[in-house]
Amino acid sequence: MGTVLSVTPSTAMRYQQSDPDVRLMLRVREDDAGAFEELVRRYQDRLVRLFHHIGPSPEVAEDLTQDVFLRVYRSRARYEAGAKFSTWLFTIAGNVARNAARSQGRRREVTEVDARKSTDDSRSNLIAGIALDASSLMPARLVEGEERAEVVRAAVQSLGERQRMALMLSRFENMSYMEIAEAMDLTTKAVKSLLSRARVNLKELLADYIVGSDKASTSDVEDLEEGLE
Amino acid sequence: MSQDKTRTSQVGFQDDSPVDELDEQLVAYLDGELSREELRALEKRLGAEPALRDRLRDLQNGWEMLDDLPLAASSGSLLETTILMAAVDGEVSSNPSRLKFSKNKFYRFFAVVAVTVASFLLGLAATKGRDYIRYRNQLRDLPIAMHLDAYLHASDLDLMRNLAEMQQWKEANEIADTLGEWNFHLADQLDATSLDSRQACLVMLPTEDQKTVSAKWERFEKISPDDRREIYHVAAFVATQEDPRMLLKTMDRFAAWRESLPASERDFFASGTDAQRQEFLQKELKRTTQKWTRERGANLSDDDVKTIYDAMRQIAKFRIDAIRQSGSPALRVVITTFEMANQSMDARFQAYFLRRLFERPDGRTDGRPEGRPEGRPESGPPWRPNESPDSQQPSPRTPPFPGGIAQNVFANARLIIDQVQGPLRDDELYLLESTLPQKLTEIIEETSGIPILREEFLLSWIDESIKRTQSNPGPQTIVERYNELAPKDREQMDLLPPERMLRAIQGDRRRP
Repeated sequence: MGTVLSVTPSTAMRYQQSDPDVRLMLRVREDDAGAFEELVRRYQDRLVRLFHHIGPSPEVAEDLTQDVFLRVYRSRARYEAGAKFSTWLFTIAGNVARNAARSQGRRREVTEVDARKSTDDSRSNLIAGIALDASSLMPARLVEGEERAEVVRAAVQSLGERQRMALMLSRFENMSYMEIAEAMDLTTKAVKSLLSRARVNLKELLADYIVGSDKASTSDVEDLEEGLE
Repeated sequence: MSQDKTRTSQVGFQDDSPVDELDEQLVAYLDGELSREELRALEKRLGAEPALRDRLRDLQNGWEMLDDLPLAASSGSLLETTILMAAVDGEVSSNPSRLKFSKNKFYRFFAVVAVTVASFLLGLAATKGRDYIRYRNQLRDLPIAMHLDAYLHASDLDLMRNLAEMQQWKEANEIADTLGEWNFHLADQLDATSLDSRQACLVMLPTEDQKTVSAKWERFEKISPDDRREIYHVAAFVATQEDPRMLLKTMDRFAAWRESLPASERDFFASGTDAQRQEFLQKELKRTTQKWTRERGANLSDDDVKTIYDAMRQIAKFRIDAIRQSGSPALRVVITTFEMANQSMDARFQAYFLRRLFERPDGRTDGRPEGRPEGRPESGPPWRPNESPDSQQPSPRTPPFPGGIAQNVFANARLIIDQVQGPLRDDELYLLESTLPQKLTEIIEETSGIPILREEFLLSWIDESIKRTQSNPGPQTIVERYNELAPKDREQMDLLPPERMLRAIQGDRRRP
């Protein structure tokens, strides 16, 4: 987070005035234990939710969340208010998730090669499995409740790592392209492209479950199944 | 949808796949990220092109399905464990700036845990799956499980600090540690072991210790989420104190001591005022240490009892000899009369006499709070050892000692007791110690660093010896009593005519 380390006084003052979490973090920098606890309280659920979808597995979401907070705590003395606190925090979260995924050797990002391989292994892609189960006996768009939630979760998991991260920050953290760009160390244009890919991919993956979609048809689902088999 | 199309979709999942510029514009439009010019141009097209509107709607519909995404929340304990780990982490940080709640160097073992956990999280490469992660988390929480009772029942930190300063508590701790009454070696061992080494440590433990650890962990796992959250909170709070090591040590021991109390006393302590609690602590701690030492004393053999009892009789004789020399002629007569009668008295009376002679202000040596002799009728007036020597005759209401002790013997005993009664002096304790059998001497030597424990042992053995002599008074027949006489006394007895000899052996004793 180089931008945070070289912050002009006016920038720091601006964020300090506009972002209450920045003020909390500045208190943490002054060894205020209560402020740290408050920050953990405010962000723990958001981080766990994020890691559930961008981490290597949902089971380690809390461990990764703790890791983020420990990093925040350790680096408190060097903290400068160069961005919104949430932006800084999610930058760290992205790094932690990437390191965890790399460490586990379980890249969720589906490369072109992987995609080709997946055509030989229908079960390597969860969304395909769910599509098969869901569409074989009933009209796809009637899928509801937990099953529908699982379909959406699997669709999100099918996205590339950065698409998922951008999607989560945009959809659930309501971050602007600029903030996402800062958190993910990308250009705004790259974020725009990432989110565009994410939306297009979701549209295609979930077309059969969207009420009112002109594309939803049994033949389409069968085509999808064939393609994945 | 063809197979080629499906494949194209799959390729599209990756982050750097090509993206249609129009889709990009539509998405930016939905996200409110278009410039004013771009917005105006796109809206113009949307108004004119139904297909473009459909395309926009599809993009939006897929996005809206994210509302169905299952959203996880943190577990209740995440906040507490995070604060705890941060507090511990601050302990080992090389950063000179430290959070105020993590100054004490003692909590090093937790610090090691935190560092190891952090390293673990940073290096998830080494992990092999979720079970491994869960196991690591269990290892991380194991120290909390080992101190479970402390966190559950000893979270009043003010009380713990007061206890730690209390002299009687310190002595009780010394005694407990020496006698092995409070054993926290397993918890200490695991506390001192880093997270990475903890598994190996568990494997190397003796089977019994492994079972103990396992039982503690199972108990910890059975705790409800709410209680567990509270435990994490207490643990985190303790860790943030300036004296966490002292606190945890005191908490462990207090919880163990509390567990040894009857439920009614635990309730009384919990609901009492500060003054009541203070009084309760002093009284019950004393009782606890006496109980520990008495349990050791209960292992005395019959020979040990006889040795100690004889030594006490000897010490009593020294005391009486001292007042015989310095006392008035009348007192000397009383003493001589009593001694002659006492030689032939019931052993229970002799034991009772000894007990009263060495009675301490706290009611020992008989182990009871007030000096009411065993077997004394509840309706009688209390025995007052410090009653004025002038009252040479017992009160008319005073019943004879059970067993038919004549009132004049009883009165003489009271006079003598009044003159010489008092706790054992140091020189008397040393005299007693010098007569102890080897095995008892060794127990004393093991506690040489704790004077109070030495005294407690001696007093508990005296209590035990006197009690057992009272309950098992020894020879009851005339022949048995004759055989029990000292050789010198027996020689004198042999010179007496048979009738006087019989009377001397029987004395004034009336069999009940």
